[in-house]
Amino acid sequence: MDRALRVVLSTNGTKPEPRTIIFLIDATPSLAKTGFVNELEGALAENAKQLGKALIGIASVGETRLTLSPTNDHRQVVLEMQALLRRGKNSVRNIYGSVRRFSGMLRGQQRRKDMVLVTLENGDAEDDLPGSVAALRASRVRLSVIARESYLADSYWNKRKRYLRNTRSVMVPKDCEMIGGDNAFIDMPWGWLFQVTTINEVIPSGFAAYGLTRLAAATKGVVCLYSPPGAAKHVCAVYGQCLFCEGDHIPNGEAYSSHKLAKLAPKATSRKVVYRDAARSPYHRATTAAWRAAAKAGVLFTTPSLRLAGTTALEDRNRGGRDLEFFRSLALERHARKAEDAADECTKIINRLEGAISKASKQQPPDRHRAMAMLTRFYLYLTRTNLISFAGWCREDALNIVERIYLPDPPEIPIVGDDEKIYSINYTNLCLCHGVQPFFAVRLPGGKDTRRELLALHKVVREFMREYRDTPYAVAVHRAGLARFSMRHGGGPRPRRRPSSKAKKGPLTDGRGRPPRKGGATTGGAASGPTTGK
Amino acid sequence: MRHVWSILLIVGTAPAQDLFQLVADLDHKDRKKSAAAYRALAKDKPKRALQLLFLQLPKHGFTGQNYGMLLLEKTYTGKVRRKGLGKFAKSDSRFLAACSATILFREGNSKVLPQLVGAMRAQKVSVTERITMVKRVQGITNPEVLAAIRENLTPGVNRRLLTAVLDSMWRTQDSQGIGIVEKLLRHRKTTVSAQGLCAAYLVARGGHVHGPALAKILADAQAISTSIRTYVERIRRPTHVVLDGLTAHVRKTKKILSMRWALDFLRKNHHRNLLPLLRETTLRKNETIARTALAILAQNPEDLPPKDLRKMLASEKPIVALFAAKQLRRRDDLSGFPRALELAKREDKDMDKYRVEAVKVLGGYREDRAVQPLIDLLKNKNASVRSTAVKQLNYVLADLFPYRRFDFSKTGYTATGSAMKRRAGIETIQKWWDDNKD
Repeated sequence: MDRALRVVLSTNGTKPEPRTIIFLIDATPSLAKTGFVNELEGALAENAKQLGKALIGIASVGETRLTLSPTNDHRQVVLEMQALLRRGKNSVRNIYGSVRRFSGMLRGQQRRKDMVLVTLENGDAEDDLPGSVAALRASRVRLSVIARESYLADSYWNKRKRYLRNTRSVMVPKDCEMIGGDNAFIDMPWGWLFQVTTINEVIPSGFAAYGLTRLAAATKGVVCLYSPPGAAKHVCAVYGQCLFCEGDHIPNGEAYSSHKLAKLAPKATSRKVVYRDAARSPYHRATTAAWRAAAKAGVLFTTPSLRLAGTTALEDRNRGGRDLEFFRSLALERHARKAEDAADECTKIINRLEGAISKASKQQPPDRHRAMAMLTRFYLYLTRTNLISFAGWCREDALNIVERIYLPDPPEIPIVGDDEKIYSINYTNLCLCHGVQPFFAVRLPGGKDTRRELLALHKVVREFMREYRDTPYAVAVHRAGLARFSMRHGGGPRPRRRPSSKAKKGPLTDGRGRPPRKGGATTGGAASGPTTGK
Repeated sequence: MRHVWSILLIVGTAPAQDLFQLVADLDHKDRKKSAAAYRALAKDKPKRALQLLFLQLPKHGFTGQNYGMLLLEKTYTGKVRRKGLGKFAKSDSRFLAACSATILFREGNSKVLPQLVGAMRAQKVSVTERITMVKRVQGITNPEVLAAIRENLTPGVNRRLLTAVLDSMWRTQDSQGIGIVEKLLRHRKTTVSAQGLCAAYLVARGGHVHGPALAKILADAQAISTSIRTYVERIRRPTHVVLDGLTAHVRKTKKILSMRWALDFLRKNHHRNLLPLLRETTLRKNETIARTALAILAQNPEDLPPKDLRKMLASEKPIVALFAAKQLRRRDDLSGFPRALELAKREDKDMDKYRVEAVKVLGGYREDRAVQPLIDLLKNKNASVRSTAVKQLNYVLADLFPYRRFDFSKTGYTATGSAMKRRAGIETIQKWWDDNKD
């Protein structure tokens, strides 16, 4: 935070220059916790000479008036900031509306105008991004941002679109759409079969949310990323399991390299231009084609967010992929056959994608689109391995469990107890954080076929890491996982629910069928036995 | 007699007698009882206890008066309380006067300022009372109160009182006191630990000219006190001089906590000499010190390139070699396995205290080659080694065979079981492994 403030407060020259700086603060408890006020106090004291002719004001996101009109009294700035952060609350806020409002207030001033937007929680609720850019440009305000890192092609809000429409727990400001992610659109396929973690929602991208980056880039401002202490702590698997460490892994290739990140940066131009560039990129076209084919084959649950049309692209809604229905029944042989068919489909898609990538690499230098294409290739290989392993599991282990054929010797014990019921198929992930090689020692189902797939996957991962180590894409590979299948099982036979009657203690039946009714039928006539409903 | 009647009027009933006892217990010699009485009164907030407090507190000693004032400050409100506090502010008891005046002053009654300042400046007050008085007025920015706090900074001042005064001055960022603290630092009567505190305070307030003085005190100290640590941690961008002082302290000290803190602080501030210092510390004879240094080394993997770790693997010290093997394994480098295995198998007595650690390191390798040695270690004479081995074996097998479930108790093997049962259990485990390893 200290460094970020020094960057945003510094001037180009050494001489003090007449400036107006507005701190637009998204006051949240998380920002207060960073010690922002202390850091601001320190930064103001350090740059006191340079800020000699500067007037500093404070505005709060969501409010209509300035919290503190521009002043040269730094002490007052610090005190007001302290008071503002003490009032901070967590809520979804429209930052872009506030940017437009307060930049309008600065219009007409002859001094150099700077706005420093500080937001750690928001930025993903977009209303009118082009309008905000236009407002800043019209007022000649340079906007710098201090924000948190966003996730790589974040799909979180897209996945929860329907939930957002129906819930009241997330109050989205009027006219806003929840977007998020470092890019103008979701360019990384998400919702892969047999993956517990949607990697788009867990991989820090190294960039701020697209909307914030766009505002800063359009006004020649800077974006500083804040990372809370402890955020860099490594976790092998977010929701899955790691077989090869005790949570003490020191991964290789996860420290982001700035020069590599710069080459893979998302475009900060307007959405229209980003879409056009994507449509023209052979890599992106290859990824989109593979994405659609994979969705059709049932190995991806989503469809691309852009529809390519000639040399441009249009936004498209997620239509969902085909469901292979592996988790609804215990038809194991059918599942195995379907998995093998899907694996064959994967092979076809991989071949087409690899052809397109090799063709494209002659036309275009490597960029983000290529990284996405390569990542898609990796995921196709991984999914194929999982499908083969699944087919093997259905034919070996699952059958043993369902039929209760295999009686293990100690120290091994049966996976499902004799009195337990099996409901359906389930899976978890064994993360690839330590690479594919350690899995050669692990007994996975599918025998030689799985081993062959593992070898192919190992080769792909090695190639991928050579090119993308120390980037978010390497982390994306590490967080992906081989599937470990299991049976959803539990309990014995479910106890029958007792009717709410006085005779709670006695058994419902005497074990020899239902007791005869007393009092006879309700419609008159002779007493009869129990009715069957027929 | 009049007093007795008034108490009877207030108390009246049987539970009120309990109240009377509770208020009396606030000044009990047994600290636990006085604390319990305070907690009981603070929880129930009985209205009738208010009058009792005003009657009893002047007769109480420091503990009772302190608890009583806390109750009056935090638990009660209203006119009766205000009136009583007003009376206390004018009383002869300096402590009660200062505390009551502080409460009223904080609530906006500025008329009590003369009483507050007068009580703060009074001579016949014990050190403990004075410290509590200073702590109570912390945060009040009135110049007269600040001046009264500063007056405590005299040569030969009690160390605890000095800490309380400096804390108060830090909180209000009192700049007028800096000169006095500087004088105190140079005064011959000031003890070394007080000098350290003063120097740390001054450097934390931005007086980097006092850095060399602080560095010297830190370097010479056997242990760094918590209050000095607090101020050293408050220094924005500590200079190399201060950090070098801490480096010298680490080399000299035998106090683990102090050393650990100093090393952590040096690490946070990216000190240039940290790495050689840590390596040097790992070679110290004291096992705990060496372990501490290794643990800090492990926190920053960049400080230990694999090349250095491989060198450490060959170390004669088992603790260093095992550390290196574990660190390499954490980086997916399995070259430490043979050394870990060798150490786990070594039979000599010197190795006894490291064997459990060796078994743990061995169990970290999720590989087939780790299984047989672990099965062999189930036969070890030491029950802790056996217990660790069976635990690690469970982890290794569960990870190598993710589609199977294990329960070692089904084999009859327990680390503390009879030798015969253990032998039978090991045989079963061995048989299973021979059948399933390929």
